[in-house]
Amino acid sequence: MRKPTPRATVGLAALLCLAAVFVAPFVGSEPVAPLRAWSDLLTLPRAAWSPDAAILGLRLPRILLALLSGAGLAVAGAVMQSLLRNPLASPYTLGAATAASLGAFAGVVLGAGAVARPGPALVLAVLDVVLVLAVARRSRRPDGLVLAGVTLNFAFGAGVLLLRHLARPTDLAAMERWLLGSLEAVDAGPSLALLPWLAVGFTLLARRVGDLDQLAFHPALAEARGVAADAVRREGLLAAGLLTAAVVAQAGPIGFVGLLVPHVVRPGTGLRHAWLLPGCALAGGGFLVLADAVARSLDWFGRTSDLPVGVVTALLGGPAFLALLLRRSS
Amino acid sequence: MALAAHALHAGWPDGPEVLRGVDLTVAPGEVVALLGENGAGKSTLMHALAGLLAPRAGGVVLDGRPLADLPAADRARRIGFLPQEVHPEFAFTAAETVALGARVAGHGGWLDGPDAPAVRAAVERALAATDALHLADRPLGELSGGERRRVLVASVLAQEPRHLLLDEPGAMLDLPHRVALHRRFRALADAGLGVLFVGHDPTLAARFADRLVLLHEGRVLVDGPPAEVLRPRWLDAVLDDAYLLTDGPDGLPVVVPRR
Ligand SMILES: Nc1ncnc2c1ncn2[C@@H]1O[C@H](COP(=O)(O)OP(=O)(O)OP(=O)(O)O)[C@@H](O)[C@H]1O
Ligand SMILES: [Mg+2]
Repeated sequence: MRKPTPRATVGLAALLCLAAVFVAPFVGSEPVAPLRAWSDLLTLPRAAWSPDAAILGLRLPRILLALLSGAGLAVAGAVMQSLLRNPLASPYTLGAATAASLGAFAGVVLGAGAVARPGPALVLAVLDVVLVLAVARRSRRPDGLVLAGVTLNFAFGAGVLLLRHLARPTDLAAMERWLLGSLEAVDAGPSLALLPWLAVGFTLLARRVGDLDQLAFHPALAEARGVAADAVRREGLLAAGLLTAAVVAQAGPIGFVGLLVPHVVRPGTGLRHAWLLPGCALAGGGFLVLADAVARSLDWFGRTSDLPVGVVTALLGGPAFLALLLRRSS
Repeated sequence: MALAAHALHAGWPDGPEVLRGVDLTVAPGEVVALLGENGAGKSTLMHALAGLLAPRAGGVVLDGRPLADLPAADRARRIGFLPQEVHPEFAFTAAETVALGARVAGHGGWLDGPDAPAVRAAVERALAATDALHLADRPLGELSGGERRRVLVASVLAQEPRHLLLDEPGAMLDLPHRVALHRRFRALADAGLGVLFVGHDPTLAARFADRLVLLHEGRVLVDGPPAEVLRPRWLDAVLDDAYLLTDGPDGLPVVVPRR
């Protein structure tokens, strides 16, 4: 079989993404007639919508949030893997997602609004990345990075448990679902709150795609080739932390998307980040939209579930991560 | 114009001083071999000359200007550096590897792979120069040690620099490829490049380099034409009693291991 070209891979990811967005609204516990729903939604005032349109109107914000969250997490994961030259790096395995949870949780407890919530999340996510790098460097072992990530994941997880214990019961109900990674959204608010942060993160990275190519190959060679390695690493990890924090603040710590999507896309695009990152954004967004559609529609022992999407990605991602680990050590 | 170290003191971050006052010049048209015991500071010197390690005292000068004053992109267009060890973590093919070097010379941009029209010829030229064209589509991680080395040398050649700094480029190469590579250095120097390479084979170096530089404990022990450097007076410090010195059939000195 011929190796797929980067162009074909990104095209395929775009198709997947489009298909997911068009199919997902019509998947769920309640069947919806697509034509009726769309025509009502687009032509009639909200009060006159058919039930079909009402359901579609409920699902679309969620799909938009899934799309943006998946894109953000997958790109963050790809950048972490390239900059740290470690295929096991991701917002989840490095502890950044849990750190961001703690920050966002603290933000809610302190009363921060949706747009500001990524603030504390970002602070802790970046702190996590800085700590992971420092510990990994001092440990001087090849697996130091992931070990440090796992350790900090526990530490920030303990902080989350503590806050959960201290939180007001009113906050707690909402936070419980959010902590599992949930894309519930009744309107476009969460997506709009996410957008500016994604824009900043993607813009930072777009300026550095060429440098990321060189750094992923070899840091010293990259530096000899004119890449300001330290600055790019700082900026890239900051952008990855920012994407992670922004997504986690709206949708909770959805696991494994950031780890696995780059592994699926990379064989097709290679390490040219001008292709790899858009490919990851499209595939990650499409994947999360589909995963959420599955989560919404699965019938668990008669209980039509509305399962938090984080549970689905974890169920899929756990075994896949294991497979990755085993392939890597062989 | 030349690349030169002047009274250079350098070491690794938080480490002791490795280079203790090194003077070394590589002029265009010259092939210079850097020899010395393990830990002598050869790789450290190469990093400093490549601008990757800031001098603690003294300096590195390129074309009459302090290297540190040169924007990194300009430096990269003039100096091609091959580190002693390069372990790729991801599945780059040989052609993709070389394309990363060719990009420095302006062949192709971020979107372009090795097959892009702007890149292809440069990549093929560099791979052919190290007899690695047939490896183009193979993943770097799946090549033999010597094959991988040849691809990496090609990736530095693809930068089309004015100065080449190669840290043990011939390590792991079989004899025909090692000889071919050093003939290539000669040809590049004749075309106006300055070539500095690190090696552990004085006999080979004597045949392809204009000058040999012996580095010993962070200092230049001697710097001169092969026939002057390959003398017991200098070699004893670096090679101890592990060698015998004789003349080869070509009239140049030969260093052989002693039983
Ligand atoms: N990346 C590094 N970080 C810290 N110290 C280093 C590094 N590389 C080399 N050193 C130290 O610098 C000193 C000189 O090492 P260097 O690599 O320059 O020797 P060398 O002459 O290239 O030896 P070899 O023939 O083994 O390649 C050694 O004491 C070594 O421990
Ligand atoms: Mg060395």
